[in-house]
Amino acid sequence: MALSISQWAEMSWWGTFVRESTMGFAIASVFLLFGLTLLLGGIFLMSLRLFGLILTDRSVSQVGRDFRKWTLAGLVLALVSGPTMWAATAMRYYDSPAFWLEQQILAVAIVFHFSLWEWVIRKDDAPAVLRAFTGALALFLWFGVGVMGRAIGFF
Amino acid sequence: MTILEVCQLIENSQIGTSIRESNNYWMLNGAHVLSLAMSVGAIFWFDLRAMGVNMRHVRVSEVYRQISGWMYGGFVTMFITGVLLFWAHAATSYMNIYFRIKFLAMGLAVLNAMYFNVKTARGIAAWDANPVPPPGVRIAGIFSIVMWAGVIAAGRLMAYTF
Repeated sequence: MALSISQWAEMSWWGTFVRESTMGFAIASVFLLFGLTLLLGGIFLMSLRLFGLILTDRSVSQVGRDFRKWTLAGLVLALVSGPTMWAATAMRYYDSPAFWLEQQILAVAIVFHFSLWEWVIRKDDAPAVLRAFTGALALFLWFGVGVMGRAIGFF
Repeated sequence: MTILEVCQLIENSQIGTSIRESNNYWMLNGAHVLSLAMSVGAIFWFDLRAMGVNMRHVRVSEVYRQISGWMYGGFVTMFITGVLLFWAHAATSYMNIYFRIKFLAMGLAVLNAMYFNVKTARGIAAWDANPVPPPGVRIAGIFSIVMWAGVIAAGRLMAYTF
């Protein structure tokens, strides 16, 4: 199943277009990094708020509102540019253990982001332990996606 | 001795070779990218406030005070990992056009931040709480975002032109 999807992606017009253009893959990777910077920067600062380390004079939900829009923009940018890179060289990614680990962490991170994370950053009365756990898990998952994404180039 | 020859000496040194050939080289690379995301990500949020786009109800000085320590922490990590990466590929990097663009953009971003701290921020009391700061402050914010985006783009393109 995964093999046939990878073959289909690499042979698709989009995959072929990106692969055969001089700078297509490189430009997609630049936009992926822009998206990750927005996403990880927002997750990092919001997690610091959940730990009670910054912007403590403002409620969690207020800070969450400020960060939500741009963090989501980063996620969307990453979720458009990432698959573009994948489509161009899907068969190479298919053979990369780092890619599969990244995809597993990414899937967990997205489910976590739109469930526990969104719930906690909207609530002003969540227990401190739950906030700290949510912040730590967010950092672990999203920075884990970043580290594994970088590892694809090596493994 | 030319700069290129110095870079070749650095790249061919024992430390340069051992970094390049280390099994943990990818971790160094990953740490550099993540610390960049952390520090530039934090700068981005401050720039958005300076532009009057985000966190409008928080004083500009307060946003800076709260996140600057973490921003500089990320910078130190980015700088250390960047120096180690350069050590491993000093001559190759020196000859690379994107490395030079990256350095130029970084230099301009730092100059912009210094100008902001020395000149623009001098009259901060007058506009600190304004939801939308004066044009000079907003321009500094936009310039900062553009320069750091340039650093990211050039840094990424370097890898494809080695």
